[in-house]
Amino acid sequence: MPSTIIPILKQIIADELDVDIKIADIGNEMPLLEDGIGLDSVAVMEFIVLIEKKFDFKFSDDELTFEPFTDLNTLADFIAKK
Amino acid sequence: MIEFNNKIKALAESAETSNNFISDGKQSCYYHQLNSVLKQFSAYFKHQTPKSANCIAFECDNSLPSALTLLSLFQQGQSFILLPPSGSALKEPQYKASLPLFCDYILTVSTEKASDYQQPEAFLTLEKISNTPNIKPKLADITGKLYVRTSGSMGAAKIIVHRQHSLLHNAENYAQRYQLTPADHVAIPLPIFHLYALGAGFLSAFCTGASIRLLKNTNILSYLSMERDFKPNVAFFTPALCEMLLKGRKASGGYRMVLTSGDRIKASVFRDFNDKFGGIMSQYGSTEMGAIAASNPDDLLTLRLETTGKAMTGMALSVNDNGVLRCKTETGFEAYLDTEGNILPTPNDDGWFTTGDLATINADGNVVILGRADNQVNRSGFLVRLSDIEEKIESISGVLQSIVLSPKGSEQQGRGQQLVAFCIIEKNFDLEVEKIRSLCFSFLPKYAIPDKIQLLKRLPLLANGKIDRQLLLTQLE
Repeated sequence: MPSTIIPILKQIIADELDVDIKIADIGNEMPLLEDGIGLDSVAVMEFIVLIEKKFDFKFSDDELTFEPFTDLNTLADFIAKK
Repeated sequence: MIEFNNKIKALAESAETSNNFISDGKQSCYYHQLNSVLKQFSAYFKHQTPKSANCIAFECDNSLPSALTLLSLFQQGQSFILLPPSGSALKEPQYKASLPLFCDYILTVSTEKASDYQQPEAFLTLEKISNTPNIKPKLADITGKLYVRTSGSMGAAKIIVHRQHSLLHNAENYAQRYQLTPADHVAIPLPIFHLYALGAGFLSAFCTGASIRLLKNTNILSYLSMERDFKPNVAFFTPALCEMLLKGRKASGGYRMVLTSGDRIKASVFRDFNDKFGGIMSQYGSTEMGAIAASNPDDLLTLRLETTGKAMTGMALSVNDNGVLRCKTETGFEAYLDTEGNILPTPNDDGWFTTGDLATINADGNVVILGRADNQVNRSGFLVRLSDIEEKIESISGVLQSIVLSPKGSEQQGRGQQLVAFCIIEKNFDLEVEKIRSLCFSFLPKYAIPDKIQLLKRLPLLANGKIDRQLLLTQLE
């Protein structure tokens, strides 16, 4: 269920990644990369590793594209189908 | 430059190279198009600067339009200094004030307007810097130079002067060492406004006529997308990129050669990368001299791991009495300038350039870099190399990276300077300062045990991807 996944993703971003943002400030439609939440290359990699751990699945190489990582909605939808 | 024009002609006409291309993922330019495309660029510059500029400040990103602009500047022998893209900062006075005073033009590429790389007039903006004091660099010849600003983390900024023809000559040399061929697909995921990605990566691949893919804003997603469509077999990396690919890509294989340069790479990362993806090898160089030594793709893993290979062709090496590596070549930098264009004295040791790095040269000519000469301290009468301590600490499982620093003026009675170890711990790994400290006692002599161990989430980096040790010291608790 995407609605239960999003809070977990927000918690990872705010608490576990080295990103300067509070949970309350993270919007579901905020771009995850550059202009939005602004995850840099190290944070993106860390984020992927933590998602795999928390949700117990592995992204295949072909699934690691920009599409699922557009914003939290797209990412939660993707994880929900796993 | 006649030589360069001949090169372009040869690349455009040879059956081996004419259908290879340079691409940024959005657009591609085939080698057979280069001649006519570069003519568009030189016409643009002739129109914009009737008299040639002293020095153009070129804001260069990893795009095809930027890469072609670079080649055009080389082709015309137009002197320039490379800068990262600044975005909106262009118009701010402090930005202009940060340029050398002999820079008279700023050249920018507008990405939004660069949908057709064959129309430079649509995306290039060449702006005369107002109120420049008409200063020329105090060099015998001011054409055909590439100026590089040093990072200047300490003291005043220096400008390193390179001759463009030397850079091209070196690039051909490097290509031989890497055994590049026109059939190679070369990925360049590092910014080409730095000399490593430009000289070792882009220019060497270009001189070979290999297909080249430039990548900007590199992260695991952009890198894997690039791999899927370009299928690189050669790549220019830093240790951080090696770790990223190891963590992020599940499938193995694919690479004939991945070159890594910059910071020290962990032995375990080097081995794992080699096993999973293919031949990794390292290079050692400096902004002044370019590549100094590099492995050979044919070298055995142990040799590639333990050394940075032999001196580049035309590069003489020796180690001075203090164990510091020196080198000598005809094609290194020409001079240091201050921002007003005055020549600064170069520490000259009979024509040798002193690198500042401790090294040994094995009997077979392979070079082992031991770390910065100023990164060793005297402790209780023993000379301690900080990089040795870092390697030991990194051998603790759970420690991803360790940087050991010795704050200046921290001398203690009879002990010498203090040692501080900053450590990055693997996520969710239960490792505390006390545990690291007690393990240190088991593999380090007492005088080499850090006085303080501090855990960090991540290390501050300079723009070139190296660790910012100065900034790190300010984070000392």
